[in-house]
Amino acid sequence: MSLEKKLVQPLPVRIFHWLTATIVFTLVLTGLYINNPTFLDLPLWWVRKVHFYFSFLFIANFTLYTYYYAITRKYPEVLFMPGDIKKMPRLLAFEFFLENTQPNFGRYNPGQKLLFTAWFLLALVLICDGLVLYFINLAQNIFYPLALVNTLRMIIYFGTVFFAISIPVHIYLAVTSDPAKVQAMVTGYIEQNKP
Amino acid sequence: MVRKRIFPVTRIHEPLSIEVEIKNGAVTDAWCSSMLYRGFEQMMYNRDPRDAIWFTQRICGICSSAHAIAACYALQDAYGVTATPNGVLLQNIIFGADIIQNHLRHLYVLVMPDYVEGPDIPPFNPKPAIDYRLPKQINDQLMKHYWEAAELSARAHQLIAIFGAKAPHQQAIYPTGVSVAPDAGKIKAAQAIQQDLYDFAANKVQEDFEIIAHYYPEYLKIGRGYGNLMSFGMFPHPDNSELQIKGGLYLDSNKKVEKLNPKYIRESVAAAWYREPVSGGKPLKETTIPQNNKPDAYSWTKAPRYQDQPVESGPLARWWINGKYRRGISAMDRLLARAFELKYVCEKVGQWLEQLRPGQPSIQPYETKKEGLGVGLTDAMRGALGHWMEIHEGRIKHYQIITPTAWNLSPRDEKNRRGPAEEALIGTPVENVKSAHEIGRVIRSFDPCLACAVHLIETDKNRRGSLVT
Amino acid sequence: MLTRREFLKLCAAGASVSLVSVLLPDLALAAKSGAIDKLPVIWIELGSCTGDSISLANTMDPSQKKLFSEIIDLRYHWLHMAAQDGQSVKALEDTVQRDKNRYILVIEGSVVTADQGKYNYILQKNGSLKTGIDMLKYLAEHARWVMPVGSCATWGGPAAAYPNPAGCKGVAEVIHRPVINVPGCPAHPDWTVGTLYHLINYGEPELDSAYRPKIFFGRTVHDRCTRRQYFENGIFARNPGEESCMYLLGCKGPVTYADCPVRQWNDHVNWPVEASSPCIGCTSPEFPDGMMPYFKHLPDIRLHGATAAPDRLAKALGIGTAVGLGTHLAGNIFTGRIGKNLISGTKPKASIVTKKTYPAKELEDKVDALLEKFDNLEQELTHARQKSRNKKGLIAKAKQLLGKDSGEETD
Repeated sequence: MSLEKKLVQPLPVRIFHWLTATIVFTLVLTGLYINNPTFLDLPLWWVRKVHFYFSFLFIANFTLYTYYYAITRKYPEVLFMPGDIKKMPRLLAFEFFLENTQPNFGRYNPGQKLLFTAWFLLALVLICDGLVLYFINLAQNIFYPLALVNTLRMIIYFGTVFFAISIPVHIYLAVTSDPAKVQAMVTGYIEQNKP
Repeated sequence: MVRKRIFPVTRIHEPLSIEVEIKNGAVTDAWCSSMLYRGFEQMMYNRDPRDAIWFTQRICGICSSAHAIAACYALQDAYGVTATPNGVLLQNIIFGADIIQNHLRHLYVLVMPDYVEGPDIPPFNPKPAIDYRLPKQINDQLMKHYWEAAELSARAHQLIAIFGAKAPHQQAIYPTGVSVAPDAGKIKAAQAIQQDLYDFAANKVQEDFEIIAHYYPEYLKIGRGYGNLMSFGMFPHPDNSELQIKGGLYLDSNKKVEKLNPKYIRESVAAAWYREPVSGGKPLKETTIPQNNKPDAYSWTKAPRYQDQPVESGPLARWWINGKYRRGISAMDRLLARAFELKYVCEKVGQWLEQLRPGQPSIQPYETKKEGLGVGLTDAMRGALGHWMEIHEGRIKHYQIITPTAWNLSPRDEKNRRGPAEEALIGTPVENVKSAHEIGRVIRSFDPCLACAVHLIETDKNRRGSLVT
Repeated sequence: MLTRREFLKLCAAGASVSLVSVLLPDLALAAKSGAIDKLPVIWIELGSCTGDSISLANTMDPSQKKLFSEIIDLRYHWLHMAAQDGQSVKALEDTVQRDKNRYILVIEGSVVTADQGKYNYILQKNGSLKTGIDMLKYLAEHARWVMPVGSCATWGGPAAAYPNPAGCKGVAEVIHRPVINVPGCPAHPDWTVGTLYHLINYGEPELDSAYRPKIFFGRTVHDRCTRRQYFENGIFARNPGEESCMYLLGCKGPVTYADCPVRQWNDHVNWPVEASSPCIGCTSPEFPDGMMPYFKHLPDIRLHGATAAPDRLAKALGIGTAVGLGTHLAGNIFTGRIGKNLISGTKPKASIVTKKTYPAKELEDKVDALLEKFDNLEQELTHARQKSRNKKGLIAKAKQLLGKDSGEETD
């Protein structure tokens, strides 16, 4: 048997992925700190500035990331498609230890795709929400629900909580069930046996 | 015999409709109906107990700090905390200033147009067909005082704002005190306002109302009512928390001041638009369900009774029980007692301001409790006010308020006994059935505030007893 | 007279100049010369606490006297008017008839809608009781401007707090016409008088999407907070009464539009944060439920009687996830899957990307194809059987018929 290198994660994807990871990690940390600045006694303006800079970085990165998947037409590989529903039972059977062999779903399994889709939609909501809170003295003039600022703050809070909860899940599942793919997110390639 | 409904009775707080039966030029029967229901106590359920102070005060815009103080006492009781000496003084000052504000507004803005002819502009126009008896010179003098009082009452609210952030609806009272630390600058500013208020109260108010009493002497006889008086007392002393105005009960039947036991308070809904409470051995389970089409009911106010007796509360009751005002019980006496109290409170606020110790804490941190019962009883501007609360798992499980106006303007109970104000109306001579301003005069002497009165919840009676004791 | 621009500047300044004090000489002059149109004002109270009227009476510049005698014609306000009963209702009716489309309708208190508004009657007309909601609709129809004052009138406010037993609503939800909202609990006298003044002299002020005049509610409390520096430096009060930022005590300044920090209350005496208490967000449409508990940032979530605090909910979600992951990890270890994956996980294994190189799949496909063929064959077979059965049946029937026929013939 000979080995072959297969490119799963092209360079742009790797860059986008790790940029997003850093930005989201910072945003979640600073966001939770701003919500409850009870420890470390950091100057809050500093934390807020970091949060704002990374928010705008996030918007730029998110736009390009989306654009990349749109022009390469590879979005069915990462977004949850209607066809993925049929695949869910097999994944769940594996994850709940009812089945021992890991089914092969290709690049991402439907569970991952579901999570990515949730993140994508949530990111859209949070970007809008965050922009309203950033331009707080302008947004209230646009249309009525934007004047309900505490509700918007609540949405952004639970969005952050969702990220804070789902990122560890993502990391855990990736590392424990398929380390090769984690490796691929660094090197880009997966090594596999030639047929 | 004529039956007449007066609605709206203006220059009181919130909608009040009065129906009277007039025979041979005098009132023979009366029904007071409050015409608004909001349901504040139901809203309190499941909220943070600490919110009670600032939330319940929004029941009433003119006596907001009274509700804040009562809720604060209830919280102190439930949490087992007390206010610092400075805190007690500041709470008294805020409360006192609000009483000054209320009494000035009541005596001048609300009551005076009944006796004094206003200028030719709205809202004094259209002028009611009243037998204005004051000579022009005195009339003008009193009208000048009217505007002066209007401005001074705003100044009294400024005094609140110095220590209580804003008024109405102060935002600085906590169970352990007041969040504003008194310093020389604030005390000085407050003293300046207090002096203005005191000067007016001492030199003008009592005199003005003596004049009115002189020109309208029959009101010293009209509007007596049952003669049952009650007060919870008010203004705890900072050192020993002894009340500076004592509480008590004076029943017309035995003519002496007795001790009050809140255990004997209960409410009747016989004539109120609420469903009769079902006890069924399950305390606190029953809440009030509004029932609009109930036969015989005519008010949103319930009828609180003390040992089944309708009792009146207010400045007259307070000073009668404290023995400082014993001239009589009548519509005019209520006003005169209020004028007397105005001066007393102005003086007291001055003393409290002097007693403040800058540098000493006005508030201290406290631990909240997950479970607890609390009762806050105090006299408010208009009479006896009580807040009862039960805390369960850190949230309010049950909240109950009995307001002064519920006592004074209560409807009939199961025994078909009239409320104190209804009783006071009996025998009031009515000259002109169309305007019937005499009825307004008697009713206004109680300083009714329906905003407070009409949101009461009836729970199991046994439970109330156990809550209080 | 001031121009509109100057007036706006004055309003926005707030801090140094009291709102109308500078206007007074102007006003008196204008009133004398008849330049000012003293517009009639009808002030009705629905489900309220009278706090906004009391607050209005706290106006210092102009004083209550100046307000009533020089700025507005307060035709109906049951707290102030000398008349009562029928006479007061007549004054109201006269204003509606004589000053149709000219008067300003000010509403204090929320609209009680439960049971067709029967929880709140406000007057009697021709012997019949009128509910607040009916009178509001009637009066709003002929008003030049409708101006709800206070948080109850604007969006329901404390009267509409959960579970809202009386079905309280804001004015704009009930009447179908534009309004000018002056929120606040209570509304600051400068906001009320300032908006009235703007209406009288310059027409409708510029409004935000919640219909609040931008001159008073254009910026957040937080933006102009007197203790903003403490916030930026991260110096927070842990208890009320401490002289620093109230953020950790649940201050709603960052999410509330009002000019309290510069205008301050009761004629520039004080305001909540300066009194070392948190802002409770009373000018917001979400007040009070969206702003309570007062001492926490985020409001309680209320659903059908159940109440949850957001931070506790988040904590519960976090713990739930952690427990889930822990259980999964235990399962991973128990089944030995984790060892396999971690040790040999990055080692090359069979191709995962292409279909061809996956023998099992090929086999599967073949089996599938075979099965399909088999299915087809079976179908064909049943079809043929059916056909033949049908044929047999037909033959039998024909025979029967023929037999019968022949029998008849033989008879």
